[in-house]
Amino acid sequence: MKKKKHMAVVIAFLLPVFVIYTAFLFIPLVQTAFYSLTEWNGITEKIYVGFDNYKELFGSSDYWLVFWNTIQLVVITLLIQIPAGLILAYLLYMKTKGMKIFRTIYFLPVVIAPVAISLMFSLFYNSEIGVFNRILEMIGLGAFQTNWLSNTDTLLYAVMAPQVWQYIGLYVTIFLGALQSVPSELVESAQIDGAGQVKTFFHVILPQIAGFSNICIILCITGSLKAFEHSWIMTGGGPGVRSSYLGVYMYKTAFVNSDFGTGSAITMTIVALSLVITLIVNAVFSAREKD
Amino acid sequence: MKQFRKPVGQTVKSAVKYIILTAVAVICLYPFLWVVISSLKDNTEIYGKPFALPEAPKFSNYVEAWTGADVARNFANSMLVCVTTLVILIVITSMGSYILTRVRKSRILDLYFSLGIMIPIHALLIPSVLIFKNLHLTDNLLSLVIMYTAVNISFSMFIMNGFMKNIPSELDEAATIDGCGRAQIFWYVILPVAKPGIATVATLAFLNCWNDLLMGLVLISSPEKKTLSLAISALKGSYATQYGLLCAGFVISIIPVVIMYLLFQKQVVAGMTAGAVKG
Repeated sequence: MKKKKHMAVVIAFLLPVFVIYTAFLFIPLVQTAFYSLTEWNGITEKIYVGFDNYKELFGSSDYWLVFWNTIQLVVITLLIQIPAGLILAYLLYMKTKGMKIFRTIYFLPVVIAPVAISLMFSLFYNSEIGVFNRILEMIGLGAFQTNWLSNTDTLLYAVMAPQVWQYIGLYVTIFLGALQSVPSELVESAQIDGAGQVKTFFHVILPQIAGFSNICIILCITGSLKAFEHSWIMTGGGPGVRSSYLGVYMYKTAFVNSDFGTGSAITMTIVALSLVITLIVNAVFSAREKD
Repeated sequence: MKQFRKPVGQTVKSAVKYIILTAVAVICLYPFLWVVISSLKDNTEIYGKPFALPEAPKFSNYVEAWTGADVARNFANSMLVCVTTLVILIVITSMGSYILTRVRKSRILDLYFSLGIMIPIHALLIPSVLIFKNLHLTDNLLSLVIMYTAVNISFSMFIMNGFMKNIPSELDEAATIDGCGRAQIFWYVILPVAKPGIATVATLAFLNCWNDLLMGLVLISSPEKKTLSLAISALKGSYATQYGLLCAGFVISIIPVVIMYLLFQKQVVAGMTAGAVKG
Protein backbone atom coordinates (compact mmCIF):
# COMPACT_ATOMS: atom_id res chain seq x y z
CA MET A 1 0.00 0.00 0.00
CA LYS A 2 2.73 2.38 1.01
CA LYS A 3 4.82 1.45 -2.03
CA LYS A 4 1.91 2.18 -4.35
CA LYS A 5 1.46 5.60 -2.83
CA HIS A 6 5.17 6.22 -3.16
CA MET A 7 5.09 5.45 -6.90
CA ALA A 8 2.05 7.66 -7.34
CA VAL A 9 3.94 10.63 -5.87
CA VAL A 10 6.98 9.95 -8.05
CA ILE A 11 4.85 9.89 -11.18
CA ALA A 12 2.73 12.88 -10.21
CA PHE A 13 5.83 14.97 -9.56
CA LEU A 14 7.67 13.95 -12.70
CA LEU A 15 4.79 13.94 -15.13
CA PRO A 16 4.23 17.69 -15.73
CA VAL A 17 7.83 18.47 -16.59
CA PHE A 18 8.17 15.30 -18.65
CA VAL A 19 5.01 15.94 -20.65
CA ILE A 20 5.73 19.60 -21.45
CA TYR A 21 9.35 18.87 -22.35
CA THR A 22 8.41 15.94 -24.55
CA ALA A 23 5.43 17.54 -26.27
CA PHE A 24 6.92 20.96 -26.92
CA LEU A 25 10.65 20.34 -27.25
CA PHE A 26 11.46 16.74 -28.07
CA ILE A 27 8.60 15.96 -30.47
CA PRO A 28 8.96 19.27 -32.37
CA LEU A 29 12.64 18.49 -32.80
CA VAL A 30 11.79 15.12 -34.34
CA GLN A 31 9.15 16.81 -36.48
CA THR A 32 11.69 19.32 -37.78
CA ALA A 33 13.95 16.42 -38.74
CA PHE A 34 11.04 14.87 -40.62
CA TYR A 35 9.97 18.13 -42.32
CA SER A 36 13.51 18.54 -43.60
CA LEU A 37 12.86 15.52 -45.80
CA THR A 38 9.75 17.01 -47.37
CA GLU A 39 8.75 19.72 -49.76
CA TRP A 40 6.18 21.82 -48.02
CA ASN A 41 4.95 25.41 -48.04
CA GLY A 42 3.01 25.17 -44.79
CA ILE A 43 -0.39 24.95 -46.48
CA THR A 44 -0.50 22.13 -49.01
CA GLU A 45 0.29 18.48 -48.30
CA LYS A 46 3.88 17.62 -47.48
CA ILE A 47 5.64 15.69 -50.25
CA TYR A 48 8.40 13.30 -49.17
CA VAL A 49 11.54 14.12 -51.16
CA GLY A 50 14.29 12.27 -49.25
CA PHE A 51 17.51 14.22 -48.99
CA ASP A 52 16.71 16.57 -51.90
CA ASN A 53 16.50 19.63 -49.63
CA TYR A 54 19.96 18.93 -48.28
CA LYS A 55 21.37 18.32 -51.77
CA GLU A 56 19.85 21.57 -52.95
CA LEU A 57 21.24 23.45 -49.93
CA PHE A 58 24.75 22.06 -50.23
CA GLY A 59 24.75 22.98 -53.92
CA SER A 60 23.62 26.55 -53.28
CA SER A 61 26.15 29.36 -53.13
CA ASP A 62 23.85 31.31 -50.77
CA TYR A 63 23.98 28.54 -48.20
CA TRP A 64 27.76 28.44 -48.20
CA LEU A 65 28.03 32.22 -48.00
CA VAL A 66 25.78 32.18 -44.92
CA PHE A 67 27.60 29.15 -43.55
CA TRP A 68 30.95 30.95 -43.74
CA ASN A 69 29.44 34.09 -42.23
CA THR A 70 28.37 31.97 -39.28
CA ILE A 71 31.76 30.27 -38.98
CA GLN A 72 33.44 33.68 -39.12
CA LEU A 73 31.21 34.85 -36.29
CA VAL A 74 32.13 31.76 -34.26
CA VAL A 75 35.85 32.35 -34.81
CA ILE A 76 35.73 36.09 -34.14
CA THR A 77 33.68 35.76 -30.95
CA LEU A 78 36.03 33.02 -29.75
CA LEU A 79 39.14 35.05 -30.51
CA ILE A 80 37.84 38.26 -28.93
CA GLN A 81 35.33 37.38 -26.21
CA ILE A 82 37.20 34.57 -24.46
CA PRO A 83 40.62 36.29 -24.17
CA ALA A 84 39.06 39.67 -23.35
CA GLY A 85 36.80 38.06 -20.77
CA LEU A 86 39.70 36.22 -19.18
CA ILE A 87 42.02 39.23 -19.11
CA LEU A 88 39.41 41.58 -17.67
CA ALA A 89 38.38 38.99 -15.11
CA TYR A 90 42.00 38.55 -14.07
CA LEU A 91 42.45 42.32 -13.73
CA LEU A 92 39.35 42.45 -11.53
CA TYR A 93 40.53 39.46 -9.54
CA MET A 94 43.82 41.11 -8.56
CA LYS A 95 42.68 42.96 -5.45
CA THR A 96 40.86 45.60 -7.42
CA LYS A 97 38.90 48.28 -5.62
CA GLY A 98 35.39 48.65 -6.98
CA MET A 99 35.49 45.14 -8.45
CA LYS A 100 31.74 44.73 -8.00
CA ILE A 101 30.98 48.05 -9.68
CA PHE A 102 33.10 47.17 -12.71
CA ARG A 103 31.46 43.77 -12.92
CA THR A 104 28.01 45.34 -12.71
CA ILE A 105 28.85 47.68 -15.57
CA TYR A 106 30.46 45.04 -17.76
CA PHE A 107 27.52 42.72 -17.36
CA LEU A 108 24.85 45.33 -18.07
CA PRO A 109 24.79 44.89 -21.88
CA VAL A 110 24.36 41.13 -21.43
CA VAL A 111 20.94 41.48 -19.81
CA ILE A 112 19.52 43.83 -22.42
CA ALA A 113 17.53 42.34 -25.27
CA PRO A 114 19.68 41.79 -28.38
CA VAL A 115 16.90 43.43 -30.37
CA ALA A 116 17.35 46.64 -28.34
CA ILE A 117 21.13 46.53 -28.70
CA SER A 118 20.75 46.08 -32.45
CA LEU A 119 18.39 49.03 -32.68
CA MET A 120 20.88 51.14 -30.75
CA PHE A 121 23.77 50.20 -33.02
CA SER A 122 21.77 50.82 -36.17
CA LEU A 123 21.42 54.38 -34.85
CA PHE A 124 25.19 54.60 -34.36
CA TYR A 125 25.87 53.32 -37.87
CA ASN A 126 23.16 55.52 -39.36
CA SER A 127 24.63 57.65 -42.10
CA GLU A 128 22.61 60.77 -41.18
CA ILE A 129 23.62 60.94 -37.51
CA GLY A 130 26.79 58.94 -38.01
CA VAL A 131 27.97 58.70 -34.42
CA PHE A 132 30.72 56.23 -35.31
CA ASN A 133 31.97 58.27 -38.22
CA ARG A 134 32.09 61.41 -36.08
CA ILE A 135 34.00 59.63 -33.34
CA LEU A 136 36.50 58.38 -35.93
CA GLU A 137 36.91 61.93 -37.16
CA MET A 138 37.46 63.22 -33.63
CA ILE A 139 40.23 60.73 -32.91
CA GLY A 140 41.94 61.49 -36.22
CA LEU A 141 40.81 58.41 -38.09
CA GLY A 142 38.47 60.30 -40.40
CA ALA A 143 39.96 58.44 -43.37
CA PHE A 144 38.19 55.27 -42.21
CA GLN A 145 34.73 56.80 -42.33
CA THR A 146 32.33 54.76 -44.37
CA ASN A 147 28.72 53.80 -44.66
CA TRP A 148 29.13 50.83 -42.37
CA LEU A 149 25.97 48.93 -43.19
CA SER A 150 26.05 49.42 -46.97
CA ASN A 151 29.76 49.09 -47.71
CA THR A 152 30.10 45.39 -48.55
CA ASP A 153 33.59 45.26 -47.05
CA THR A 154 32.44 46.40 -43.64
CA LEU A 155 28.84 45.17 -43.60
CA LEU A 156 29.37 41.77 -41.99
CA TYR A 157 31.78 43.06 -39.36
CA ALA A 158 29.52 45.99 -38.55
CA VAL A 159 26.76 43.46 -37.86
CA MET A 160 29.09 41.32 -35.73
CA ALA A 161 30.49 44.16 -33.63
CA PRO A 162 27.46 44.74 -31.37
CA GLN A 163 27.18 41.03 -30.64
CA VAL A 164 30.86 40.76 -29.71
CA TRP A 165 30.58 43.92 -27.59
CA GLN A 166 27.38 42.85 -25.85
CA TYR A 167 28.54 39.50 -24.48
CA ILE A 168 32.09 40.15 -23.29
CA GLY A 169 30.68 40.83 -19.81
CA LEU A 170 29.20 37.36 -19.69
CA TYR A 171 32.66 35.83 -19.96
CA VAL A 172 34.16 38.32 -17.52
CA THR A 173 31.57 37.24 -14.96
CA ILE A 174 32.04 33.52 -15.51
CA PHE A 175 35.84 33.73 -15.45
CA LEU A 176 35.78 35.95 -12.38
CA GLY A 177 33.65 33.35 -10.61
CA ALA A 178 36.14 30.72 -11.74
CA LEU A 179 39.13 32.69 -10.49
CA GLN A 180 37.49 33.25 -7.12
CA SER A 181 37.00 29.50 -6.78
CA VAL A 182 40.76 28.83 -7.11
CA PRO A 183 42.06 28.07 -3.60
CA SER A 184 44.20 31.02 -2.52
CA GLU A 185 46.74 28.68 -0.84
CA LEU A 186 47.68 27.39 -4.29
CA VAL A 187 48.45 30.88 -5.57
CA GLU A 188 50.29 31.87 -2.40
CA SER A 189 52.47 28.77 -2.31
CA ALA A 190 53.42 29.28 -5.96
CA GLN A 191 54.45 32.83 -5.16
CA ILE A 192 56.44 31.69 -2.14
CA ASP A 193 58.22 29.27 -4.49
CA GLY A 194 59.28 32.33 -6.47
CA ALA A 195 56.87 32.15 -9.40
CA GLY A 196 56.12 35.60 -10.89
CA GLN A 197 52.63 36.81 -11.66
CA VAL A 198 52.74 35.66 -15.29
CA LYS A 199 54.10 32.26 -14.38
CA THR A 200 51.56 31.84 -11.60
CA PHE A 201 48.79 32.71 -14.03
CA PHE A 202 49.81 30.21 -16.72
CA HIS A 203 51.00 27.34 -14.54
CA VAL A 204 48.80 27.55 -11.47
CA ILE A 205 45.62 29.47 -12.22
CA LEU A 206 44.92 28.57 -15.83
CA PRO A 207 44.94 24.78 -15.29
CA GLN A 208 42.56 25.28 -12.34
CA ILE A 209 39.97 27.08 -14.44
CA ALA A 210 40.28 24.91 -17.56
CA GLY A 211 36.83 23.46 -16.91
CA PHE A 212 35.31 26.93 -17.06
CA SER A 213 37.09 27.73 -20.31
CA ASN A 214 35.45 24.65 -21.75
CA ILE A 215 31.99 25.96 -20.81
CA CYS A 216 32.79 29.47 -22.07
CA ILE A 217 33.97 28.11 -25.42
CA ILE A 218 30.81 26.06 -25.80
CA LEU A 219 28.61 29.01 -24.77
CA CYS A 220 30.44 31.18 -27.27
CA ILE A 221 30.03 28.70 -30.12
CA THR A 222 26.40 27.80 -29.49
CA GLY A 223 25.61 31.49 -29.00
CA SER A 224 27.09 32.30 -32.41
CA LEU A 225 25.32 29.41 -34.10
CA LYS A 226 22.01 30.73 -32.73
CA ALA A 227 22.73 34.34 -33.77
CA PHE A 228 19.68 36.02 -35.20
CA GLU A 229 18.59 39.39 -33.82
CA HIS A 230 21.63 41.54 -34.57
CA SER A 231 21.63 40.65 -38.24
CA TRP A 232 17.84 40.60 -38.62
CA ILE A 233 17.24 44.00 -37.01
CA MET A 234 20.17 45.92 -38.49
CA THR A 235 20.16 44.70 -42.09
CA GLY A 236 17.44 42.05 -42.42
CA GLY A 237 20.36 39.79 -43.31
CA GLY A 238 20.76 41.65 -46.60
CA PRO A 239 21.53 42.77 -49.18
CA GLY A 240 20.55 39.31 -50.42
CA VAL A 241 22.03 37.05 -47.75
CA ARG A 242 25.31 38.90 -47.40
CA SER A 243 24.97 39.69 -43.71
CA SER A 244 22.88 36.64 -42.77
CA TYR A 245 23.83 33.89 -40.38
CA LEU A 246 22.34 30.40 -40.55
CA GLY A 247 19.61 31.40 -38.09
CA VAL A 248 18.57 34.37 -40.22
CA TYR A 249 18.75 32.34 -43.44
CA MET A 250 16.52 29.71 -41.85
CA TYR A 251 13.97 32.29 -40.70
CA LYS A 252 13.88 33.95 -44.12
CA THR A 253 13.60 30.68 -46.01
CA ALA A 254 10.83 29.30 -43.81
CA PHE A 255 8.81 32.32 -42.78
CA VAL A 256 9.44 34.88 -45.52
CA ASN A 257 9.64 32.53 -48.52
CA SER A 258 7.30 29.89 -47.00
CA ASP A 259 9.69 27.05 -47.81
CA PHE A 260 9.32 24.99 -44.65
CA GLY A 261 11.09 21.92 -46.01
CA THR A 262 14.31 23.74 -46.82
CA GLY A 263 13.97 25.86 -43.65
CA SER A 264 13.84 22.67 -41.59
CA ALA A 265 16.88 21.32 -43.43
CA ILE A 266 18.83 24.49 -42.57
CA THR A 267 17.76 24.09 -38.93
CA MET A 268 19.00 20.50 -38.88
CA THR A 269 22.39 21.65 -40.14
CA ILE A 270 22.52 24.16 -37.24
CA VAL A 271 21.62 21.45 -34.72
CA ALA A 272 24.18 19.07 -36.25
CA LEU A 273 26.89 21.74 -36.25
CA SER A 274 26.29 22.65 -32.63
CA LEU A 275 26.27 18.99 -31.53
CA VAL A 276 29.44 18.15 -33.48
CA ILE A 277 31.37 21.20 -32.30
CA THR A 278 30.33 20.67 -28.67
CA LEU A 279 31.37 17.01 -28.80
CA ILE A 280 34.73 17.96 -30.32
CA VAL A 281 35.40 20.65 -27.71
CA ASN A 282 34.42 18.29 -24.90
CA ALA A 283 36.61 15.52 -26.32
CA VAL A 284 39.59 17.87 -26.62
CA PHE A 285 39.18 19.06 -23.05
CA SER A 286 38.68 15.64 -21.52
CA ALA A 287 41.69 14.30 -23.47
CA ARG A 288 43.79 17.14 -22.06
CA GLU A 289 42.55 16.53 -18.56
CA LYS A 290 43.77 12.93 -18.78
CA ASP A 291 47.33 14.03 -19.67
CA MET B 1 66.77 53.08 -3.84
CA LYS B 2 66.12 49.47 -4.53
CA GLN B 3 63.56 49.40 -1.79
CA PHE B 4 61.45 51.98 -3.56
CA ARG B 5 61.54 50.46 -6.99
CA LYS B 6 59.00 47.76 -6.43
CA PRO B 7 56.25 49.95 -5.00
CA VAL B 8 56.71 52.45 -7.85
CA GLY B 9 56.49 49.63 -10.39
CA GLN B 10 53.38 48.39 -8.68
CA THR B 11 51.78 51.80 -8.65
CA VAL B 12 52.33 52.12 -12.40
CA LYS B 13 50.96 48.63 -12.97
CA SER B 14 47.96 49.35 -10.83
CA ALA B 15 47.36 52.65 -12.63
CA VAL B 16 47.46 50.89 -16.00
CA LYS B 17 45.04 48.32 -14.67
CA TYR B 18 42.52 50.96 -13.54
CA ILE B 19 42.89 52.84 -16.83
CA ILE B 20 42.07 49.68 -18.80
CA LEU B 21 39.17 48.77 -16.52
CA THR B 22 37.74 52.27 -16.68
CA ALA B 23 38.11 52.48 -20.46
CA VAL B 24 36.17 49.23 -20.85
CA ALA B 25 33.53 50.50 -18.44
CA VAL B 26 33.13 53.62 -20.59
CA ILE B 27 32.82 51.50 -23.73
CA CYS B 28 30.09 49.47 -22.01
CA LEU B 29 28.15 52.42 -20.65
CA TYR B 30 28.60 55.28 -23.10
CA PRO B 31 26.38 53.88 -25.86
CA PHE B 32 23.46 53.76 -23.42
CA LEU B 33 24.27 57.18 -22.09
CA TRP B 34 24.27 58.59 -25.63
CA VAL B 35 20.82 57.16 -26.26
CA VAL B 36 19.48 58.54 -22.96
CA ILE B 37 20.86 62.01 -23.76
CA SER B 38 19.56 61.89 -27.32
CA SER B 39 16.13 60.85 -26.10
CA LEU B 40 15.79 64.41 -24.73
CA LYS B 41 16.64 66.10 -28.01
CA ASP B 42 14.94 66.81 -31.30
CA ASN B 43 16.30 65.86 -34.71
CA THR B 44 18.12 69.13 -35.35
CA GLU B 45 19.99 68.86 -32.09
CA ILE B 46 20.88 65.20 -32.67
CA TYR B 47 22.25 66.02 -36.13
CA GLY B 48 23.93 69.25 -35.12
CA LYS B 49 25.50 68.43 -31.77
CA PRO B 50 25.28 64.66 -31.34
CA PHE B 51 27.60 64.61 -28.33
CA ALA B 52 26.36 67.67 -26.45
CA LEU B 53 23.89 67.68 -23.60
CA PRO B 54 20.39 68.74 -24.63
CA GLU B 55 19.86 72.52 -24.49
CA ALA B 56 16.28 72.29 -23.35
CA PRO B 57 15.44 68.69 -22.43
CA LYS B 58 12.43 67.53 -24.45
CA PHE B 59 10.56 65.29 -22.05
CA SER B 60 7.68 65.33 -24.49
CA ASN B 61 9.54 62.63 -26.45
CA TYR B 62 8.80 60.25 -23.59
CA VAL B 63 5.15 61.19 -23.40
CA GLU B 64 4.76 60.69 -27.12
CA ALA B 65 6.70 57.41 -27.22
CA TRP B 66 4.72 56.04 -24.27
CA THR B 67 1.31 56.87 -25.72
CA GLY B 68 2.07 56.55 -29.41
CA ALA B 69 3.70 53.16 -29.41
CA ASP B 70 1.38 51.62 -26.83
CA VAL B 71 4.43 50.58 -24.81
CA ALA B 72 2.33 50.10 -21.69
CA ARG B 73 0.40 47.29 -23.32
CA ASN B 74 3.51 45.62 -24.75
CA PHE B 75 5.12 45.87 -21.37
CA ALA B 76 2.09 44.28 -19.68
CA ASN B 77 2.08 41.47 -22.25
CA SER B 78 5.77 40.73 -21.65
CA MET B 79 5.24 40.78 -17.88
CA LEU B 80 2.25 38.49 -18.08
CA VAL B 81 4.05 36.00 -20.32
CA CYS B 82 7.28 36.01 -18.31
CA VAL B 83 5.70 35.75 -14.87
CA THR B 84 3.32 32.96 -15.91
CA THR B 85 6.21 31.11 -17.53
CA LEU B 86 8.33 31.48 -14.40
CA VAL B 87 5.63 30.17 -12.09
CA ILE B 88 4.94 27.11 -14.24
CA LEU B 89 8.62 26.49 -14.92
CA ILE B 90 9.63 26.66 -11.27
CA VAL B 91 6.79 24.47 -10.04
CA ILE B 92 7.35 21.70 -12.57
CA THR B 93 11.15 21.70 -12.58
CA SER B 94 11.50 21.83 -8.80
CA MET B 95 9.07 18.90 -8.48
CA GLY B 96 10.88 16.95 -11.19
CA SER B 97 14.29 17.78 -9.83
CA TYR B 98 13.25 16.76 -6.31
CA ILE B 99 12.29 13.29 -7.54
CA LEU B 100 15.33 12.83 -9.79
CA THR B 101 17.89 13.91 -7.21
CA ARG B 102 16.39 12.73 -3.90
CA VAL B 103 13.72 10.10 -4.41
CA ARG B 104 14.36 8.05 -7.51
CA LYS B 105 17.49 8.73 -9.50
CA SER B 106 17.42 8.02 -13.20
CA ARG B 107 20.39 8.52 -15.47
CA ILE B 108 18.28 8.08 -18.59
CA LEU B 109 15.92 10.88 -17.57
CA ASP B 110 18.85 13.11 -16.55
CA LEU B 111 20.32 12.63 -20.00
CA TYR B 112 16.96 13.14 -21.68
CA PHE B 113 16.37 16.46 -19.91
CA SER B 114 19.90 17.69 -20.62
CA LEU B 115 19.44 17.19 -24.38
CA GLY B 116 17.56 20.49 -24.65
CA ILE B 117 20.62 22.53 -23.66
CA MET B 118 22.07 21.78 -27.10
CA ILE B 119 18.92 22.58 -29.06
CA PRO B 120 18.68 26.08 -30.53
CA ILE B 121 15.22 27.64 -30.41
CA HIS B 122 15.20 27.72 -34.24
CA ALA B 123 14.69 23.97 -34.28
CA LEU B 124 11.25 24.41 -32.72
CA LEU B 125 9.88 27.34 -34.71
CA ILE B 126 8.28 25.55 -37.65
CA PRO B 127 6.61 22.72 -35.70
CA SER B 128 5.43 25.11 -32.99
CA VAL B 129 3.42 27.15 -35.50
CA LEU B 130 1.60 23.98 -36.51
CA ILE B 131 1.15 22.66 -32.98
CA PHE B 132 -0.54 25.83 -31.80
CA LYS B 133 -2.68 25.98 -34.90
CA ASN B 134 -3.97 22.52 -34.02
CA LEU B 135 -4.50 23.57 -30.40
CA HIS B 136 -6.40 26.68 -31.60
CA LEU B 137 -3.89 28.91 -29.86
CA THR B 138 -2.68 30.83 -32.91
CA ASP B 139 -1.74 34.41 -32.02
CA ASN B 140 -2.28 33.66 -28.33
CA LEU B 141 0.09 34.65 -25.52
CA LEU B 142 -0.42 31.22 -23.96
CA SER B 143 1.53 29.69 -26.85
CA LEU B 144 4.53 31.82 -25.87
CA VAL B 145 4.20 30.75 -22.23
CA ILE B 146 4.21 27.08 -23.23
CA MET B 147 7.19 27.39 -25.57
CA TYR B 148 9.25 29.50 -23.16
CA THR B 149 8.56 26.95 -20.44
CA ALA B 150 9.62 24.08 -22.69
CA VAL B 151 12.86 25.66 -23.90
CA ASN B 152 13.92 26.65 -20.37
CA ILE B 153 13.31 23.25 -18.78
CA SER B 154 16.73 21.78 -19.57
CA PHE B 155 18.91 24.41 -18.01
CA SER B 156 16.49 24.91 -15.09
CA MET B 157 16.57 21.21 -14.22
CA PHE B 158 20.31 21.36 -14.49
CA ILE B 159 20.73 24.23 -12.03
CA MET B 160 17.96 22.99 -9.74
CA ASN B 161 19.56 19.50 -9.59
CA GLY B 162 22.82 21.10 -8.48
CA PHE B 163 21.09 22.79 -5.54
CA MET B 164 18.84 19.85 -4.61
CA LYS B 165 21.78 17.42 -4.52
CA ASN B 166 23.52 19.53 -1.90
CA ILE B 167 20.66 19.47 0.59
CA PRO B 168 21.62 17.01 3.36
CA SER B 169 19.53 13.83 3.28
CA GLU B 170 19.13 13.93 7.09
CA LEU B 171 16.47 16.56 6.51
CA ASP B 172 14.26 14.13 4.58
CA GLU B 173 14.90 11.39 7.09
CA ALA B 174 14.00 13.52 10.07
CA ALA B 175 10.82 14.63 8.36
CA THR B 176 9.90 11.04 7.48
CA ILE B 177 10.29 10.04 11.12
CA ASP B 178 8.02 12.90 12.06
CA GLY B 179 5.43 11.31 9.79
CA CYS B 180 5.61 13.54 6.73
CA GLY B 181 4.75 12.13 3.29
CA ARG B 182 6.83 12.82 0.19
CA ALA B 183 4.69 15.70 -0.94
CA GLN B 184 4.83 17.33 2.48
CA ILE B 185 8.59 16.88 2.67
CA PHE B 186 8.92 18.55 -0.70
CA TRP B 187 6.70 21.46 0.21
CA TYR B 188 7.72 22.13 3.83
CA VAL B 189 11.31 20.93 3.95
CA ILE B 190 13.01 20.91 0.56
CA LEU B 191 11.48 23.92 -1.19
CA PRO B 192 12.39 26.45 1.52
CA VAL B 193 15.98 25.19 1.54
CA ALA B 194 16.20 25.21 -2.26
CA LYS B 195 15.27 28.91 -2.46
CA PRO B 196 18.66 30.11 -3.79
CA GLY B 197 18.41 27.59 -6.63
CA ILE B 198 14.90 28.76 -7.41
CA ALA B 199 15.99 32.40 -7.40
CA THR B 200 18.80 31.58 -9.82
CA VAL B 201 16.54 29.70 -12.19
CA ALA B 202 13.93 32.44 -12.00
CA THR B 203 16.37 35.22 -12.85
CA LEU B 204 17.96 33.46 -15.80
CA ALA B 205 14.66 32.20 -17.20
CA PHE B 206 13.17 35.68 -16.84
CA LEU B 207 15.98 37.18 -18.91
CA ASN B 208 15.58 34.47 -21.56
CA CYS B 209 11.83 35.06 -21.88
CA TRP B 210 11.98 38.83 -21.65
CA ASN B 211 14.66 39.13 -24.34
CA ASP B 212 13.38 36.59 -26.85
CA LEU B 213 12.35 37.85 -30.24
CA LEU B 214 12.16 34.78 -32.52
CA MET B 215 9.29 32.88 -30.88
CA GLY B 216 7.28 36.07 -30.70
CA LEU B 217 7.89 36.85 -34.37
CA VAL B 218 6.60 33.44 -35.35
CA LEU B 219 3.72 32.92 -32.91
CA ILE B 220 2.25 36.40 -32.39
CA SER B 221 0.79 38.57 -35.12
CA SER B 222 -1.74 41.08 -33.80
CA PRO B 223 -0.31 44.38 -32.50
CA GLU B 224 -2.21 44.34 -29.20
CA LYS B 225 -0.63 41.00 -28.28
CA LYS B 226 2.94 41.98 -29.05
CA THR B 227 5.60 41.61 -26.41
CA LEU B 228 8.11 44.33 -25.66
CA SER B 229 10.82 42.75 -27.86
CA LEU B 230 8.44 42.71 -30.80
CA ALA B 231 7.50 46.31 -30.10
CA ILE B 232 11.17 47.36 -30.03
CA SER B 233 11.80 45.65 -33.35
CA ALA B 234 8.89 47.65 -34.76
CA LEU B 235 10.18 50.96 -33.35
CA LYS B 236 12.67 51.32 -36.17
CA GLY B 237 9.90 51.31 -38.74
CA SER B 238 7.44 53.56 -36.92
CA TYR B 239 9.90 56.29 -35.92
CA ALA B 240 12.19 55.88 -38.91
CA THR B 241 13.22 59.53 -38.96
CA GLN B 242 12.32 60.85 -35.51
CA TYR B 243 15.44 59.86 -33.67
CA GLY B 244 14.60 61.54 -30.36
CA LEU B 245 11.37 59.59 -30.16
CA LEU B 246 13.14 56.41 -31.18
CA CYS B 247 15.64 56.89 -28.36
CA ALA B 248 12.88 57.60 -25.85
CA GLY B 249 11.10 54.41 -26.90
CA PHE B 250 14.34 52.54 -26.51
CA VAL B 251 14.95 53.89 -23.01
CA ILE B 252 11.41 53.07 -21.87
CA SER B 253 11.77 49.54 -23.19
CA ILE B 254 15.04 48.73 -21.46
CA ILE B 255 14.36 50.41 -18.09
CA PRO B 256 12.43 47.48 -16.55
CA VAL B 257 15.16 44.98 -17.27
CA VAL B 258 17.88 47.36 -16.07
CA ILE B 259 16.07 47.91 -12.76
CA MET B 260 15.48 44.20 -12.40
CA TYR B 261 19.15 43.55 -13.09
CA LEU B 262 20.31 46.03 -10.47
CA LEU B 263 17.91 44.56 -7.90
CA PHE B 264 18.66 40.89 -8.57
CA GLN B 265 22.29 41.22 -9.53
CA LYS B 266 23.40 38.70 -6.95
CA GLN B 267 21.12 36.03 -8.40
CA VAL B 268 22.13 36.84 -11.96
CA VAL B 269 25.83 36.52 -11.21
CA ALA B 270 25.26 33.42 -9.08
CA GLY B 271 23.21 31.93 -11.88
CA MET B 272 25.82 32.57 -14.51
CA THR B 273 28.59 31.03 -12.46
CA ALA B 274 26.44 28.21 -11.06
CA GLY B 275 25.39 27.27 -14.58
CA ALA B 276 29.00 27.19 -15.66
CA VAL B 277 30.39 25.36 -12.62
CA LYS B 278 27.88 22.58 -12.73
CA GLY B 279 28.40 21.94 -16.43
